[in-house]
Amino acid sequence: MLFPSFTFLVFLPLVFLAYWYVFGRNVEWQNAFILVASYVFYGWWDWRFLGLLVLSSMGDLFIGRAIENSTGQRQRKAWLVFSLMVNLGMLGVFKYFNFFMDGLHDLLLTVGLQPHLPTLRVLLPVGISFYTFQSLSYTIDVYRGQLKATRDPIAFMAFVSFFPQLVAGPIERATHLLPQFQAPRSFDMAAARDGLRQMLWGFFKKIVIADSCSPIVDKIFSGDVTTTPGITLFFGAFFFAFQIYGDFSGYSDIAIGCARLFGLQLNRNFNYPYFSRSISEFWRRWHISLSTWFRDYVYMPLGGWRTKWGRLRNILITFTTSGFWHGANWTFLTWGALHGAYYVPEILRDGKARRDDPELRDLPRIIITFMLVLVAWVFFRSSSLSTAGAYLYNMVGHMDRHPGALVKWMYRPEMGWILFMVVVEWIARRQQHALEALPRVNGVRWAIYLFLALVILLYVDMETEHGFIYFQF
Amino acid sequence: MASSTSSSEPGPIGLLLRIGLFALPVTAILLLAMSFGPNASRVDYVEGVIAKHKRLDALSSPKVMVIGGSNATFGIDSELLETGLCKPAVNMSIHASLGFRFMVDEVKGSIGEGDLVIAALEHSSYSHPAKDNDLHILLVDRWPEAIRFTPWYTRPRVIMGVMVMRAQGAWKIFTGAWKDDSQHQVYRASGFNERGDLVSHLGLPPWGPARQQSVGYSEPVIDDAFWPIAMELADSVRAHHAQLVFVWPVVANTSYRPQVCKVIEEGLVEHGLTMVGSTEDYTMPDSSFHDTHYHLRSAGRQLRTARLVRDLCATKGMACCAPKKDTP
Repeated sequence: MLFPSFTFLVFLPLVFLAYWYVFGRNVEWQNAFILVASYVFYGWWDWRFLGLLVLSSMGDLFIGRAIENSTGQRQRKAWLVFSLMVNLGMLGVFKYFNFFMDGLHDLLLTVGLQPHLPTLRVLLPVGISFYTFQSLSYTIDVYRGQLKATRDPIAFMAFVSFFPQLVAGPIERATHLLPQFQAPRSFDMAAARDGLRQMLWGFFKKIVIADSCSPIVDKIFSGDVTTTPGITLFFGAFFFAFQIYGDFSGYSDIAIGCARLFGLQLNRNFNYPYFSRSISEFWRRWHISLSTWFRDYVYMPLGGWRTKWGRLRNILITFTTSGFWHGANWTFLTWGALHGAYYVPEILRDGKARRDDPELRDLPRIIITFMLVLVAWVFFRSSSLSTAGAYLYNMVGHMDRHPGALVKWMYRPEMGWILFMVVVEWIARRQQHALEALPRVNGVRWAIYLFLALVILLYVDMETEHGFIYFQF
Repeated sequence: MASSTSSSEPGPIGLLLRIGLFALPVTAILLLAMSFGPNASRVDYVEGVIAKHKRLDALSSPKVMVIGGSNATFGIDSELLETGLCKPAVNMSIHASLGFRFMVDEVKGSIGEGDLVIAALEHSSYSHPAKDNDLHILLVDRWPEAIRFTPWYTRPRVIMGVMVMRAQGAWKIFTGAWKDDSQHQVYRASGFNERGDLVSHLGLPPWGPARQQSVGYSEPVIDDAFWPIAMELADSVRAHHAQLVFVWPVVANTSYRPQVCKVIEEGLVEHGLTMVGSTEDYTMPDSSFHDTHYHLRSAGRQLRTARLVRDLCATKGMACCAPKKDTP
């Protein structure tokens, strides 16, 4: 089920009312209901993939208890390794099997063999990378002694499958969300209203920004880059930068806002990343739940930042792994590695990510950081490394072709909406979300809501249901 | 453990009431757009359905009804069909995206004694028989009565879709995005002949293979939901002492998938349904097609209909005029 769909428009109020009025007296019933609603939400795509979700949840629930009940460290470690094998094994089969088989096939061909290797032509289950990581964080935290294994299977399965964030995050930690599922919840009108505001902004970013940029990006990236003017290629990458931001941060805003309707608080996932003044700051602001997951479960166990060279190595490993998490393609690996490489100057001069809010005087640094990110996005969006290379080569080399194209691109309506979003988010850059600090005058606030709702309706595509980019990961 | 709603503040119902209050002006604007706004799309192709239904209502039994997607709209000469089968014909087909469910509901109430229902379905109608998409919105926008052929549970979405798309149409006119109001050369309501065949593409220069859209196939070849709809149509036909036959859509050589056709044929036979003709006869060179690998041009259309008449007349129990023996 997609957020911007008529089905969800009916689903959400029904679940909301039943949650508070039918099951509201008892938190166990609420959890059971959330679990059923989440499975319906997920099964709407393809009910057959529910089995994997149940397997991942049940497996880690069982392993969590087994770790806690283990007497020796070796036994605890064995259970953790088993959990890693189950979850990463699922990911491996559904996401990476063909990538490795294709690689092995090419390798055997180069040594003169004619291999006949099996390939799996299976659909990638929606959101598998998200819920396996979420489930996995539980067993790791239990192993580390940061969390007690839960005795409440319904609460745990509801935590893993909670529908607002099930398919594209934020990737929640058991230490943060599971206790919320175990505690009584009361309806908080202020939180729910703020949640709705956040959802409204999320829908704006998804429908007006991301879905409007999508056809432009598709056309430019699928065209012949050798004959396309450099300016057009630049705008292709520029629009993709905002498409993926609108798409993913829009999803996160809707998910976080939606969770607040149910009395649950999800972690922040985006903090105005395009206002970053350095790459390290960018990664403090972009896909925060994944960055912190990799920081805590990959970077830190590797040794963290104890020495300069160790830090450099660990950063590169972590970012390349993060790229690989996004998909079984060399383009994602390169995207991750490139971000790791961007860190090198900062590590060499012991730079630290700034934690103060960006100001207008920081504009040159913001632009430079954005351009670095934009170059990396070309790898992320391209179908192959050679295409990405040709794209960047022609983007820079053909900048002087058709300079008039600049005016054409600058005056597109999508540019106007991107500018509008950037201005609104700049004003709200100290807030949790863009509509958090609206004027207190009721009429003005409602006029803003009405304006945004109408713009969304004018842009919503009734002809095509646009999925979210991150569903494929 | 107990969860609760706070008593001092409005509860969840209060929140929904506020949303309802907020939705009022939005709904008012959408209703205005629906009442006074332009059509949802500048292309009026689907409006051709109105004339088809008028003909369907006017014809008495026995008659021939062709249902299916645009393969039949572009690629059947109903006049030739009438001559061969000695019955007046109406080509009800318009677009595969309407779905088999919709197509059956359109004609089910009009079947009479001695009628022949020819189902010329695209492969997508077997794999996705109950579609719920924008085409229902565009059709209802042009012909509100069409809503009775859509499943009840999709109607709110369709009505909302009409409101939203009309508002978007008004916005596009206001912003100048809809500057050119000329109709599409081929896809237009005035492009149909009196029997419901599309003729606006006949005689146009070829598109060339590079621009033609190929046929998309998906798994499973036949969805489980196909059979109840097909059997419902078969039962209805049987109850009225009429006949139902399935025929192959014509596809271009490069889009031809014999394995898919085999699955379809075996499935139909297994369910006691009749598939007429062999797939090879309904596969033609890419150059015989217009913009897609389903849309026949003039010569292919004649050949396909002639072969269809030949195959139908060879079918057991089919009442025919003198069939042409020399059909290639």
